[in-house]
Parts: sequence; structure tokens; C-alpha cells
Amino acid sequence: MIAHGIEPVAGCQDLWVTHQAGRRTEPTHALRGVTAWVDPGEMLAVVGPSGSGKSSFLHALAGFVRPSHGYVQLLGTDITRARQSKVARVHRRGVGFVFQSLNLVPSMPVIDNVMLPARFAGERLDRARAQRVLEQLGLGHRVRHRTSDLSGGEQQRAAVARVLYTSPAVVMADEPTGALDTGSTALVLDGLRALASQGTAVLLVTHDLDAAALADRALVMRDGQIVRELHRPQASDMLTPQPPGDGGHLREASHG
Amino acid sequence: MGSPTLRLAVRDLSRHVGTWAGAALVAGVVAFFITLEAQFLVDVAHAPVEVFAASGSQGTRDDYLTLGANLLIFSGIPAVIVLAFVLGNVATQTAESHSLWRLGGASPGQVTHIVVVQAVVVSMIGVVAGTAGAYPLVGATSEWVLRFGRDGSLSMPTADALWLPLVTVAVLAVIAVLAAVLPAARAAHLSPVAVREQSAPSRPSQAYAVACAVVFVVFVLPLPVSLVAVPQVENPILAVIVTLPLGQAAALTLAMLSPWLLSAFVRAWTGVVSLAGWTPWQVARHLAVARIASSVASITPLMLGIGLLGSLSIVTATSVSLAEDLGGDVNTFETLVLMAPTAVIAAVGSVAVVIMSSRQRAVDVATLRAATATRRDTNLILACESFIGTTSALLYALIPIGLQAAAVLFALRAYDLSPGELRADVVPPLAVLAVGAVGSFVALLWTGQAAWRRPMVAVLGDR
Repeated sequence: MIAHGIEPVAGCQDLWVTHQAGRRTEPTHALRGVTAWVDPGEMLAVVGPSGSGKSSFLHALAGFVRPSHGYVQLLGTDITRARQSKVARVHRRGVGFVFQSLNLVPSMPVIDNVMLPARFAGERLDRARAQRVLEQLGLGHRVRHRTSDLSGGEQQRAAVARVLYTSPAVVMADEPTGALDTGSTALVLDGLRALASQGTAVLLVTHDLDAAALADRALVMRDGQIVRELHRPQASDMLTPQPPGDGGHLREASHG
Repeated sequence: MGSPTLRLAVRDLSRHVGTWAGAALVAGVVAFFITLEAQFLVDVAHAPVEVFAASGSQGTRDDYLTLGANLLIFSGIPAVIVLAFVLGNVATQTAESHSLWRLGGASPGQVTHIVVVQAVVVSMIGVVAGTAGAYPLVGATSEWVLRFGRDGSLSMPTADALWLPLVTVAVLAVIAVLAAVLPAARAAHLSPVAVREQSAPSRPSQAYAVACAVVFVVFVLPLPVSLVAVPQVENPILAVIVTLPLGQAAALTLAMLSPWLLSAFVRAWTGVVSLAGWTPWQVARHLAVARIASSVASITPLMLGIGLLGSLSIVTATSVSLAEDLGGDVNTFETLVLMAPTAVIAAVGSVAVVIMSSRQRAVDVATLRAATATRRDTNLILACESFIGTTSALLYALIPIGLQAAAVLFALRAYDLSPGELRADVVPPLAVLAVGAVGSFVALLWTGQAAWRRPMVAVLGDR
């Protein structure tokens, strides 16, 4: 449910990300003037073909990429030109990540991985709650196992369990179901949907149009730009090419 | 090997420049000391007899030849082991490249071939640099050893032996091939998918076990045989000295066994320490265990240095003390000469592995950042990891040191001497520990900061 009028948790204005591989090569634009905002409790899907700029968009919003032009705000903080140490402190305040890899500390038991952000934040640990979210994601039998003993799908679910446990203000998920079987995909998406219903903003970058159809809103990207914005998207809508000259679907959010 | 494969091997070196630079550094340091030691031996063999009769000489030509040979053996064996662990770690650090080649259609044999070529090329760069760096110092070093601790105007001409650097380079090239081929073959035969998912088994291969068994039987097992001479030698000082090979053999054996033992060893002692509830400590111990191949390659050289020097210092200090009580003369200068190369090679080998693992560290830092760790958190974790590494090396080294102490006590008892005669000079092993600890701490934090500077996107993209 989009909560209009509420302060957005993350967003960017006229964002450009340009890569220059060498002096003699032409610069490539990963993002070209992107403006988008995500509200609390909103599940926002970003879809598009490979190389369309989906992941660059998520990385820029997370502060992992320094934009060449534009403005990025995360949890009320301008991180456009922020140093990585400042970005990390903003993440600590309420950002969770689910990547395709690099989610979990290898050899550490699953339950300790789930509680790790809370440990870093110096919060009181609730093992019973961690156990519950793991059970919710079908990992009740894996609680004490080392993460390196888990399959790829189980590791991905453990990463979702971590954001469910910490309930951050915003979750950034980059292709979280990219390499998962149908059962694991459903559990991961259910978990993310549950987070959104609890008030967490979920930014979901995905190739999977069925996954994107679970979102409140979807942004369709192509060539570093948002070419369509769909509310309550259907998979078939996202496949439909935008009619020439039809700018009706593209609505730049007016936040900020 | 076709030229495209060779080009691929050379081009890939730049992709892992930090890793290969660490291997070249260790190869260079090993070559530096081997060159000095070999040239000393040749100089002694060719020196006119008057040199050894002159004022300030501490022995005959045979004494100095024995010292030179001991020097080569005492520092040569650990140097080869350290080089083997370092080159083995290269195969671990570059495993992702191997998986890409395998996925691109290369056979395990081709991958092994590429890695061995890389190891030889890089080792030779280090060896040539180390040998060239040693040559200006050979004259001064030989003189220093010759008249160590004595006044006098001794000087020894440097023998003209142009074949020596060629032999040094050739021998070290063969060692590099032998050291690289097993880990390279093992890495090449791993499933590319398992490597990319970081689920490849970290157990040593059967070939490594066979190689260890051969080295153990041929080089290590004969060493403690000298213990049978303890009750038969002419005095207790000599009895203490002949126990030395036991400690040395124990240190070498533990070094070879470390791929099997260290994981459980690190997990056990770090679990016992009550800091386990402290988050940086807990994360660091899991990282140390998860990256056990790198941990082994970093901890083992340091353990070897501390263990070898610790056992040597027990024997030297005890025999010197006995000589003072019972009368007699113990030549202590050999100890310092023997210790220096081993100490430097051990410390450099340990620190080099930490630097070589910088790519892996970038992955670890990115993983921690995904769990919302701040720079302070990661610094604390890396500091704990450094502490775990050096403390593991110290605790592990206490095993050969303890065995050496037991052997010396056995020798003392055989001559009805009090166990209170046992002495130890803790300065040499602690000096190695301190250099290794400071070096790995600085290297870990430095590579950690570099990991923070590396865009998260680049690390994620590499996966």
C-alpha cells in the first residue's frame, strides 16, 4: 500500500551514473536522469532487461555508487557525495540487504548470521524471535547449521530471515530469487511481502515478472531510464511495450 | 603449451597482482638468504688456509663448512616449506580464475599447466631479484660471520663462482614447480560451481598426504634418531645439543600436518576463550575458520619460525648454562647466525600470505557491510582475526617447544642433573612472534581499508 504524503525512506532525483573505463573510451551511462522514491510499507519492484540499469539503480540508492549527477536520499540523509563510512552508518540505522551472494558470514551458524546486524547495532538479542523467522522461512531444522552447509536457496532464505528479524526501515533486494527453485522463491517473496505489510519499504530488483507482480508498484527500466511506472502491476502489463509517444504511464514521483 | 594459453597465464597475473606480488616477495627473500649462505659456503671452501689461522678466527675451515651446511639446512628446509605454503595459497586465492577457465572449456590439465607456469614466472622474478639483491652483500656477510663477536682484521676473498647464482635460480625454480604443482592440480580439479559458491572442500588432497609422508620419512623421521645418542655422548652439554633435532622435527611435522589440524585447533581455543560473546571476536573466529586455507598458509610459517627458534633457544641457553657450571665452551654465535634467516623468512611468509589474501578480504568486508557493519566494526574484526592468527601460531608452536623441553629434561636426567638446569631464551621466538604479529596486523588493516575503498558494486560484480 503506497502511503502518499509520508516521508519516503529512499529515493533519488535526476540521477546519472556514468562509467568511464579509460580516457579513450566513450563514457557509458548506467543511469540517465532517474527519479524515483519509495515510501514506507511500499514494495517497489524494478524490472527490465539485462543492462537496463536495475542493479545500478539499487546500488546508487544504497550509496554503493557515487553518482555523476543528481541527488540520493536514504533514511532522510543526503548520501549523494557521502563517504562509505557515513553510508555504512546510515545502513546501520535501518537498511537491510538481500543480494544473490555475499549475504552470510561463512561457517557462522545460521541463527547467529540472522542476528548479526542486531549484534553490530548493540541491540538485545532475541533468539526465540530469530528461531521463529527461520521456521517461517522453512529453515527451522537448519538453525544451528553452519551457513556453508546450506544450499543456495537456503542461504537466500536465511538472508531474508535476517531482514525479517531486524525489520529495517528499507530492504534492498537484488535478484533475491535469481537462482532459486519455485518453493524457495515463494518463501522468499512471502517473507519480503510480509516485511512490507509490517511497514518496511522493500525495493526489489528482479527479472522475474511474477515476483514483480507481487509489488505495489513496478518501475520498468530500459537503457538506464525508467520507461514505465505501473501501480498494482500485472506480469502481462510489464511485458507490453509502451505505445509510442505514450507518456501516460511514466509518472515521476513528486517527492523530494 | 600453445601461445594463447601462455598469454592467458601472463594476462591473468595482472588480475591477481597483489597475490602474486606476495609470492614473489617470499621467493625473493628465500633466494636472498640461500644466495648468501651458498656463497659463504663456497667462499669458505676456496679461502686460503691463512684466513682460518688469523687472529679473530673462531674455528677451522671444517668448522665453517659445517656452519655453512647447517645454515643451508636450518633455513633451507623451513624456507622450502614456507614457499610451498605461500604458492599453495596462490592456488586458493586464484581459484575463481581457474573456475572461469574450466567453465570456458579448459581441462584440469590445462589449468594446472597455466598455474604452474605462473608460479614459475613469478617465483623466478622474485628469485632473480633476491639473488641480485644478495650479491652486493656477500663479501660483508661472509666477513661478518667469520669474525662474529671477535676483534681482528679477518677478511675472506669472495670466490668467483658464476655458476652459483644459476644453480640457485635453477634449484628454486624446481622447488617452485614442485610446490605449485600439487595445489594447482587440486584447484584445477575442483568443481567450478563449488568454487564460485565457495563450497569447495578445504581438506588437503590425497596427493598432498602422499607428498607429506615422503618428506616426513626421508627428511624428518631421521632427525630425532640422534636422541638414542643422549646417554652415550661424552658430556651432558653434548647430550643436550643432540636433542635439538627432536624439536626441529616436531615443528616441521606440525607444519606439514597443519592443513588437517589447524581448523580444529583454532576453533577449539577460540571457542574456549570467554570473548566468544563479543561480536567482533565471534565473527573473526568464524572468518578464520571459514578461510582456513589462507589461515593455514599464514599461521604455519609463523609457527614454524617460533617453533624452530624456540627449540633452538632452549638447547642453546641450557647448554651455555651447563658450560658455565661444569666448565666448557659453547659456541653461541652460530645460534644467532642460524636464527636470522629462519626468523625473517617465517615472518615475511606469514605477512605475505595476509597481503595475498586481500581479494578474499574484500569479499569478507562486503559480506560484513551487507550485515550493516561499519568501518569500525570491520577494523575490530580484522584486529581480532590478526590476534587469532598470531596467537594460534604461538600456541601451535608451544607443541614442538614443549617436546624440545621434554627432550632436554630427558638429557639432564640421563646425567643426573637437576631439571632446574633447563633454560630458555624467549627473546628470539618472541621477536619472530612480534614481527609476525605487527606485520599481519598492519597488513590486515591495510587490506581491510583497501577493501572499504573498493566499490561494493565491484565486489558484488565479481561474484
